[in-house]
Amino acid sequence: MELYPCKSGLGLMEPIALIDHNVCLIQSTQRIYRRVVYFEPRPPFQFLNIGAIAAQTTSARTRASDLDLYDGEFGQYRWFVLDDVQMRLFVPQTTGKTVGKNLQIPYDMNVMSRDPDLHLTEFFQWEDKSAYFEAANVSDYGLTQCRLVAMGYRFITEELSAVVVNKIKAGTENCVKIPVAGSAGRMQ
Amino acid sequence: MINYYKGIRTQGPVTVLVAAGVGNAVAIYQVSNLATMVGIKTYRLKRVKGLNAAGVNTLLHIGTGVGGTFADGIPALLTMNGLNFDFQEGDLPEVEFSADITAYPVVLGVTVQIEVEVIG
Repeated sequence: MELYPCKSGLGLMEPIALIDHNVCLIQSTQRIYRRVVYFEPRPPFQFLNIGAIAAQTTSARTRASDLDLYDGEFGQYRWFVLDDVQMRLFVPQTTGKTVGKNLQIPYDMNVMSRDPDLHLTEFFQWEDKSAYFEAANVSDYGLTQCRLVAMGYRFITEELSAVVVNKIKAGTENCVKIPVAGSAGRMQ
Repeated sequence: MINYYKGIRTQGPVTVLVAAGVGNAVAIYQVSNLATMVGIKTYRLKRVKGLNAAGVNTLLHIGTGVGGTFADGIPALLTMNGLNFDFQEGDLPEVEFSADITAYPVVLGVTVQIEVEVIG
């Protein structure tokens, strides 16, 4: 069974790893090696309401604390917006996701028709290194709320021994590599 | 099948058309133009709902521009005195607007609200 981020599978969301799988969580330049000891789904739930946004204004960058997990846990999430905004994602607060040299691509309600299984909304979060969301109400009409819905999996992990980590680094032990933060790139 | 061309359905406010005649067209849906918006949005008219309380049957013009710059975007719609009107997708041409959608009645006394599909 091949597991990797943003996997389409049969169209539905699949867990990035199963119990007893090794994972390498990549957070900036840091690599965190863990083994999955338990996972469970997080069914679709409304995890954040940024609130009212006046016409043609951008909200504050808002922490999504309902996605946070305990120490030693990471989350795999797909998400969408319920209201008519252009939404930028940051994981963690200062590192934008879906960035390019000239543009950070926002998500909007179109994702439901253009990417119905939300593959390309997928992101991962380590413990309580929270995701932040910034909503631009680009319309000429005020919004009374700005709601986001997420779904995914919660993984509980344990530390790997140095022996196993060395085997992973040598390429003799399997490991799923998972980015748990955005990347500013190498600025070249 | 994924439809990449499908847009977001939204609506304008209930708008009382406060004066009659081409020189008095007012916005019934204002376009998005936030400077930091990614992409350009256009608007397909999907539904025109309203009430004719003019005392006579009258035409409702929908287009773009105000005052002397108004131009019809679709043929004028005949609304019947004392009745609601409800022109839906099948009644309306697949016109795509890129500027504020404006309207005026030939005779004063029409209230209108539109639904649009936002493409972008």
